[in-house]
Amino acid sequence: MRAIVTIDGELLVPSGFNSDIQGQKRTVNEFVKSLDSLLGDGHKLTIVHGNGPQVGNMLFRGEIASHAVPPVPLDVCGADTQGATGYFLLQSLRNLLKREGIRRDVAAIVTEVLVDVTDPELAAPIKGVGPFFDAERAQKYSGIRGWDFIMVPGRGQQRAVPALLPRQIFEVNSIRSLMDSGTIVVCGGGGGIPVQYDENGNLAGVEAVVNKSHTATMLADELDADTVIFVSQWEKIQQAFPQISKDEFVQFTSTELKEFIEIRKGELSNSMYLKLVASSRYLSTGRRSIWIVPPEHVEAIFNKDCGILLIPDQSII
Amino acid sequence: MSEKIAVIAIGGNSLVKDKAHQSVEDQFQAIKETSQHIADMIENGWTVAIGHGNGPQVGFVLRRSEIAYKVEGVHEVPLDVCGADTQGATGYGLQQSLYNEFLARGINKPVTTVITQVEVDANDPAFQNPVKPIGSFMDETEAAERKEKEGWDVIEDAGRGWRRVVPSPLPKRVVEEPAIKQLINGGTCVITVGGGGIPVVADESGALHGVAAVIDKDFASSLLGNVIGAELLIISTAVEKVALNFGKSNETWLDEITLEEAKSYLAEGIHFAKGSMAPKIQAVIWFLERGGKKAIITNPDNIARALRGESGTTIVP
Repeated sequence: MRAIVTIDGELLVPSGFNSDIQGQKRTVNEFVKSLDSLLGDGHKLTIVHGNGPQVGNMLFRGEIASHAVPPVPLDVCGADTQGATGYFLLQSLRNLLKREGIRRDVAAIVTEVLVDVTDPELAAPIKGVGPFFDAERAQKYSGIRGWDFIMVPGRGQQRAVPALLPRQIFEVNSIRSLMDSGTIVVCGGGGGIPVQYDENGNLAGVEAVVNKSHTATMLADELDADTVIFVSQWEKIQQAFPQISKDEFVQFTSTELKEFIEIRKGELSNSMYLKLVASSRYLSTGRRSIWIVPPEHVEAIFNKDCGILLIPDQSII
Repeated sequence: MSEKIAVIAIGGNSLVKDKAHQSVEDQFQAIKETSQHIADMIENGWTVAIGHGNGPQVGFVLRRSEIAYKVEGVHEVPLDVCGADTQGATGYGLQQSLYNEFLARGINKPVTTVITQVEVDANDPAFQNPVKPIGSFMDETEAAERKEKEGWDVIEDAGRGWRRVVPSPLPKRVVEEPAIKQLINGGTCVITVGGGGIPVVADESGALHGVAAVIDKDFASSLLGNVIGAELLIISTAVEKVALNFGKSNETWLDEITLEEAKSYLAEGIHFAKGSMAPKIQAVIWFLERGGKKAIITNPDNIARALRGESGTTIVP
């Protein structure tokens, strides 16, 4: 099987605020065990991971230290977390492979994606990132830094940036070549570092976040994957699909999925909504499949024991 | 691909020019200049792997981490993770800048950053003798406290205060070698061993773990050159050429020397500054002894001339 595994950033940090790095490493080590069934020779694997909590930590540190150290733009924050989270996954997977005596290589690739900030539907700053501020500070930063803010009830003002769709993945040829040769590739962290061409035709970073679900389905397309496996906390899956029990196998066709999104739209978390929309768009190509499973059920997809399977209306699988 | 392979080691300081140019924008400007020199090499038929330093960049990450820890109790970033962070961020800066330079020149060359661990020997004598200062200056009380609580090695630095010191062990193995080799052999320009690589040691079971250490980036680039079969190693530094009796009245600039000459000059112990030119000469010696065909030490502006034999110091077997 050629699979794109997409991991929510929350699965790679311990629950609760401000866990130290040892805790993060332990969490990643625990998590990668859930991918065990995909690590054997029969499968080709590319892993995309979220970076929400990681970027949040970086921005928080950067803010506290901003009087002493130059601030880090959001695109560079993304690159930083691709380095660090890539490293955790790399080391953890390598150690797991070694323990199991599987001879396979792992590589983490810094990934840039082209975005379009002029996209009228997406350019609005809606995605909160980083620490919370009081109204006075928010006003100051909106003046001197040109930031947009959103009010988060009970927490304060938070910087808001656009959440953009990827249009092109620049490193896809390197990723494909490594994946084809059997290397497990970690890439597209946080959906990829958002970049666009400036007035001189040069690529430059964009202060935005990228929808990683779309990056994952785009990669699946580019890499000719058989399936995309969205790995998410069970609580989040349950919240979106309250009628489904954890040990159940449920299948949705593309049309059923569209209806589901339409009906449940108002109640879906942003992250689940984006997953389902990306899935729906992807399945409209007419082949392949998408899974939504908690970490403990990744293995179950092989026998369709449990999990949510999304398929095209006329599947040839 | 039958193209010639070169490794170029870029100093972290050539990416941060001086105190007045530390912002991320300034770093990107410095990277742009370096990219032009690398693009020159690629136009001349070289496939290039780039190793880069990260001293100033790790300094920034650590400073943010220290301040956020003291002010808000945010967990600190361990040194191996600082290295991974800077590999992501500097790799991103370099790959974007090279992409732009290639685009402007009509060069069709993919460029990819590989997050890279470098294994060191847990029994390396350097671990008994940590000498590399990192992080901010501390007062004596804090130094004593950190030593007690976190096991840091600390030294008093010539009346300027106390600093943490970490070991600088020798690189033994580039862990991601297969992926780097595959990409290079496919003609991709690869950015790797940033900051000398993320230092890891293998435990008795063979599992890798990050360690608080700093690997010399010229040593790591030298090793990388040998494992990917590079014929050329370029060490880019602040001076155009290597000098004997550097800074003295009988200073002599070197154009071309042999491996044997390099070894005897180094052994004389009076020519090259410890911690500066001496390790670069050592890196070159190892590269040539392990099968490299040629090494050049020069500053970024003179790389193209040095390749034509018009500048720099060339060292041959």
